[in-house]
Amino acid sequence: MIDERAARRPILAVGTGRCGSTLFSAMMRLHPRILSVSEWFTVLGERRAIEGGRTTGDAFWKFLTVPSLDVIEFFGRDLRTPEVLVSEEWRSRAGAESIPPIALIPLTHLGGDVRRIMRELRDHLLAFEGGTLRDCHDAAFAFLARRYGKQSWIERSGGSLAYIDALRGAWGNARYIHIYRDGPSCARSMSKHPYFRVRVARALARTPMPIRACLEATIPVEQYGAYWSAVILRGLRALREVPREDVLHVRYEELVTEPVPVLRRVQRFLEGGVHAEEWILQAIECIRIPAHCRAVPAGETRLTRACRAGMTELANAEAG
Amino acid sequence: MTPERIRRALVESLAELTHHSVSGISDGARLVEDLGVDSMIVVNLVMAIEDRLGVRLPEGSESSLVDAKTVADLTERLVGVFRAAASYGSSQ
Repeated sequence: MIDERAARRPILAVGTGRCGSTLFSAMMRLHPRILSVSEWFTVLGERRAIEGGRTTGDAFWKFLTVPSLDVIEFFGRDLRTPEVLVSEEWRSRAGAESIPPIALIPLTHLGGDVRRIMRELRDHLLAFEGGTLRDCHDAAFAFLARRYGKQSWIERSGGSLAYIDALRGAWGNARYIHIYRDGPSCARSMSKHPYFRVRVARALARTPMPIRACLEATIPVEQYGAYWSAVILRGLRALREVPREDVLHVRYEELVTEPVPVLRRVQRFLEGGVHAEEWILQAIECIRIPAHCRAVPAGETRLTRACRAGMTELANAEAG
Repeated sequence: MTPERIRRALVESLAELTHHSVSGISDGARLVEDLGVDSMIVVNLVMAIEDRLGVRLPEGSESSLVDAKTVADLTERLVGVFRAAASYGSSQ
């Protein structure tokens, strides 16, 4: 039997970013009953997409389809960022300022005729009376879940552990899957990724530095470790406030080396006693371990020192 | 390690990380509101203090410091971390 009570509640997959959560989204996309929404909050400006007052369906539709300056500048520089899934044809015909943010990743991730789904979503939201931002996101997610023949949804945006306070503020009844990975490996991967180079440069400068300046800044790798530790410290503190049965911690290294027991644990968390062995067998086919994801050799460096705070927090969380 | 030496290392490190002058960091200064301290600065702060004092603080020190409200509160917690580490070391 499906645990209806659990299935109706929002499920948010959170992590530091560069922690394997994209793989998790890809696995969830194959789930027969749960819609996997990917990078929805990322392309809509993260906190900006969550914190705010009431809005109408019409205004919300504009919010989903008009990119912010950050999105234009970030993706306008290089639409070939690996996470961007929008079709080559759309990329070549349009500049970053004219690609709707939800087409950049989230709707394309779901598959099918993206333009048609956008039209249907637009019609649905224009008829929606509006409400809080959460109500509007819920309306969009519920529509998409029905559209794809699913019963519920899970949202996963890379790096969302950094704004879990905002997520908790909006979705007070959410359940969480926290995906995490060895700190130094994660930090090294962040240091090579433009999105996290912007985040860390801004965190260090403590101002909303222009994206170009962020990408040109030279940042020691240990600062990515410090950023990672800080996100873990804050994020796990927030997760400790959530009832224990509503949080599942998933270690990336286990997900890729022992996927079957880990995905069974995920399935139990998602749907109680419902078996989904077929999904698990399909999901493990998603696993590809790129070279940059392999573990960093041990030995104390400034990077491992910077990651120590987060690693200790994670060890405490694992110990329960 | 005297509390005064720990405090001096703390204030010098804070000044460096928050771009304030040492003289501008009073005991009553509020970490978030006045100095803009966030959890990333706390992680860097622990490393900076370790470097200044030539020691390694126990694992998890950052977690006990991250909620401090003022410089005085942070100093008190940090002195507590050193004391706990010293008493743990002497009991081994």
